Amino acid sequence: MWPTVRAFLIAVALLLGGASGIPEPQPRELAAAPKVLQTAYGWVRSVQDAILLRVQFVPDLLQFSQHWKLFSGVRDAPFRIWIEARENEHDPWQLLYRPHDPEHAWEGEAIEFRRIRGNWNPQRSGPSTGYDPFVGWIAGRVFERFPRFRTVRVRMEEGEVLPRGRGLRSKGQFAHERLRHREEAESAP
Amino acid sequence: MIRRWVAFWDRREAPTSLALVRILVGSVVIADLWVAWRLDLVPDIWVPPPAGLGYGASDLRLLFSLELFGASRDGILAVWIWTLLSALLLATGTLTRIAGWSLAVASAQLSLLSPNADRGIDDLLRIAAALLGVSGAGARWSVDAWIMRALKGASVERVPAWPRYLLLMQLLWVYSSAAQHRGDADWWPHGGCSALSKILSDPHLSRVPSGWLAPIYPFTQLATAATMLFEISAPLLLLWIWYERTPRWPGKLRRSAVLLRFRWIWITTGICFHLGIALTMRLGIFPFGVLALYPALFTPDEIRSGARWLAGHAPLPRKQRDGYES
Repeated sequence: MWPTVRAFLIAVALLLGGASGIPEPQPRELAAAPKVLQTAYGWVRSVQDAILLRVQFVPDLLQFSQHWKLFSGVRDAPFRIWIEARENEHDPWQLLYRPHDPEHAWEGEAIEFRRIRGNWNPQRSGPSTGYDPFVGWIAGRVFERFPRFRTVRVRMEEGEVLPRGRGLRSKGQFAHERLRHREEAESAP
Repeated sequence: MIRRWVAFWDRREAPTSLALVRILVGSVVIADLWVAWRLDLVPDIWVPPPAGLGYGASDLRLLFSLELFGASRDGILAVWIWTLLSALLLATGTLTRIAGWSLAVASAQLSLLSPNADRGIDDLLRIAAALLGVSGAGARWSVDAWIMRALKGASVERVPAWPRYLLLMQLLWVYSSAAQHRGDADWWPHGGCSALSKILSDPHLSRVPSGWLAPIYPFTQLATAATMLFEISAPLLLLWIWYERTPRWPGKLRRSAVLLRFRWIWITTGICFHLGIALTMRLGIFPFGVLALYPALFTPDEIRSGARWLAGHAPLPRKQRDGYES
């Protein structure tokens, strides 16, 4: 009896896994698709939701999904993070960290650790939801390690990938700039 | 048909492949948690801002660990210790079934505390841990097996094979799903197969500064095409396995697949692919975490045969291996 029950349960698990793994088109792809495909996808989604709703507690409890988006977006214009600090308002900024710069590699291993990078590495749509918490956290570390600094600046240098693997060119401009002052860090709960 | 389906999922085999997956999955998680500790990032990664990076779960009902251990730095440290202990128990095969599920649930709690610190590889390792928790992976090279031998004087020689089959299918789905989500032209010939070159130029991901790729740019295009072919063709591995099991059945494709060893080409490509990622990119445990599941692609006898070959002995003759048509 048990082998039959187990085989049935495995069949159900495969069906549910398959249903939850149906690829999700990007909104812009869906909007550009013919009307018939949009309608068909709507039906697929409603069947998918109906099937998965009752078992959603399993992926919720174990925090997984069957959509595997590995390198789904390739950036033509990658960023390079700069972490800088200064003592007083009119002092020059001192660069503490930026990738691939051995002279400015303070806390490089920690900043580049995958669980930290997930917070500051921008997404295509903009900064990650963890970006501001990251700025506050790294500023706290800077203030603790260097008592002379009063302000920390984190920003993203905009780059452009040159064709045929010739490297990366800086656009000479920055995005997602954030400032944190020692007073804010010290007054935080 | 139904009888065949039931019989297929009722197959048994030596616990070798599953035991290897168990040891590797547990070890990868331990290594990852240890690196976080060594870099003085525990518990900051999971603590709420401003002291940490854990911006918090969207669904607090699921985050029962905070009620269990307390919503403080010490409480979050306790969740990290729980995850580490579960991984240690899983790797050593101590209370394996409990350890597998414990690791999956503890890791999910960490994910809920700090969603941005959690990547796809953590999802995959949680699924693997849960599957190992319902498998006989603890029947070999484990504390459980040692206790069993000490108490009963015998060890479990054959365990259900279905968890290995599911791990194998999960791995193939990861690759297939990844390919399905690649809408960018850069991955395809009409976009010049430039994806790998662009990814390796990203200073946040690449191990070395950009610019080194120009002399080998055609190679990166070839590697991009090979990556897509590898991922798209992942489900075909099931067909290649089937052909290897029935080599004397008719069919030109079957003969070619067996003769040219399509299955082995695919697996070797996968290993090279992940080693290449480990060498050129800073993705942490990602390549090692996926490779930890690769023993599930081999039958226990293939692993035994491979170990004999590595030790300088002749591999087992094919007819002595499990499940092959003689």
